[in-house]
Amino acid sequence: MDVQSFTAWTGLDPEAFVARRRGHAERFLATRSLTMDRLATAVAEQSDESPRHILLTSSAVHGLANDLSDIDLIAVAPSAGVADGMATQLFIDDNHLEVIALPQPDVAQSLAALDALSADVPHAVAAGLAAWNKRQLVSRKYLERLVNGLDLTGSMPYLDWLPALGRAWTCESSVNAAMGAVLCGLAEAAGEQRGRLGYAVNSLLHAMDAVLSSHGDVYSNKKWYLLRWQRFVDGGFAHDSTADAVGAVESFRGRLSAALADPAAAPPLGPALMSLVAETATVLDVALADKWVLAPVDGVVSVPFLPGASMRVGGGDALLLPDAGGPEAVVALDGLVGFDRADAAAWLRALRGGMAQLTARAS
Amino acid sequence: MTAPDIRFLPGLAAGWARTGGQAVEDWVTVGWLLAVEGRAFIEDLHGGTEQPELQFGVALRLLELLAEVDARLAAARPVDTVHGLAVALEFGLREVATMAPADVAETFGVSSGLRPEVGCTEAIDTFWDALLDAFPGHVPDPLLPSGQGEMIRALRNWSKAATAVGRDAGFLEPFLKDA
Repeated sequence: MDVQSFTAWTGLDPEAFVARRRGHAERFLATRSLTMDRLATAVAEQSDESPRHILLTSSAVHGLANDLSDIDLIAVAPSAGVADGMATQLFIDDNHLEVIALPQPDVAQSLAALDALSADVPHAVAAGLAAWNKRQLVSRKYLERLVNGLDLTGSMPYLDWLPALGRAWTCESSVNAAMGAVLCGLAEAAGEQRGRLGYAVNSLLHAMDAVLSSHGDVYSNKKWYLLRWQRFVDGGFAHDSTADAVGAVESFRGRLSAALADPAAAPPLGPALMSLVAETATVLDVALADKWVLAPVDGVVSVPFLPGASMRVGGGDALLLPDAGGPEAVVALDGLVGFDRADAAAWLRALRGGMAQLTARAS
Repeated sequence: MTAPDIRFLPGLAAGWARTGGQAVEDWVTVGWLLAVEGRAFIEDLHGGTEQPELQFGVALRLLELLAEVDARLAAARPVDTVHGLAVALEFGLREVATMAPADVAETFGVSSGLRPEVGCTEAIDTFWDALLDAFPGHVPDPLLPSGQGEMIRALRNWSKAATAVGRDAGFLEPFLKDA
């Protein structure tokens, strides 16, 4: 671990970073009349062989846990074949614990895969994370919990992988923010007053997560994004280079909030959102594709239904659509040009119905 | 809008039968989603009384879940997660509850924007309690110690239900792993 780089990245040297996590964990457990030793005993009693690590994970170590938060633990088993990947539910007094056992060989393999993926180009990273659970032995949820997890002896044994995790999550969230911005623009072109705002909300939340992840604050579940962002804005450590991007996100947050209060009165948001997403990605050193292509999903065929309408058929499903949109269309990240309302609406319906796809294309 | 103004599960209430195999898969999936994910989101809401930004995020996730439930009850293929919130806000809900878009946005706190100051849980609590009341049978609560046994019994019944209509119970495997 390069201490200087880590410190510049997170604002804390590794020892202080771990100490902060330890502080979060101890304060949380105290509110539940628990100690790390007591947790360790409870988990060890459930394990067939002595775990290599017992990690406290999730909201308890991120300093986000509240009175009703679960206690999520990972037991890293020394060998393969012992852990079946199924979570065990434990109750200590009124505390609900969930423990999952992961074999060390699987953990090692998945961490190596994370290293490799995080070094790839951003859209490949996003695609790799989207397909992660199908290809890797440790799910992405538990991968993130492992890296961020605090051993009950007080160390973070997988901290060395936090930079790779942060990079991967930054890329994925940036790509997701971009896709959301394009969909917002498409929905506006289709005349949707409220649906466009749904895409905009998720796009902005992903942009927030991209900035957070680029500072070493990496956490999987979207439900936490806005709280983590608020904590960051309220005084978290920020790189000098991201100050303008943070300001731009906050400004759009206000604009979007006004739109949510009165959707019919709100002007188009797509162009501003696309600019925000593109500029934030540049600041985070994430090279986003500048074009997105709308096209039918492979294998989908169009069958005439009535004059002016067809059925799209594919994968055992069928979708009824007006004839509009054309065989393929290109959307630029700096705006939707040439989309009439009927075309945009048809593409949006096809995307939602799983008959079309939106993929990034670099110029 | 209060829960009494909303009609919950109108298709079930109307007695609409469906083709057996897909219906069982859809109804079981809905039961599972409400029991496991829905109840977890409601508990998250209650835990976040000092964390309005968390409550906002949880309310969005719950709405996305309900959009999936809505599609399954309508015998439709749910849209991908990336579209769930947009579809719920644009079209409202139809089969899980009959709710117009504006009422959806208000009930789930979306119309209050991204600077939530106070919790929005009361309307969601009212909605959720009414939904569970209207749902056929008791939806298990795996967050309680007794809930683990309830989930296992439910999974056994659901497996038998699939067999009864000639549906491969393989779709239950992810649920068995999570149980």
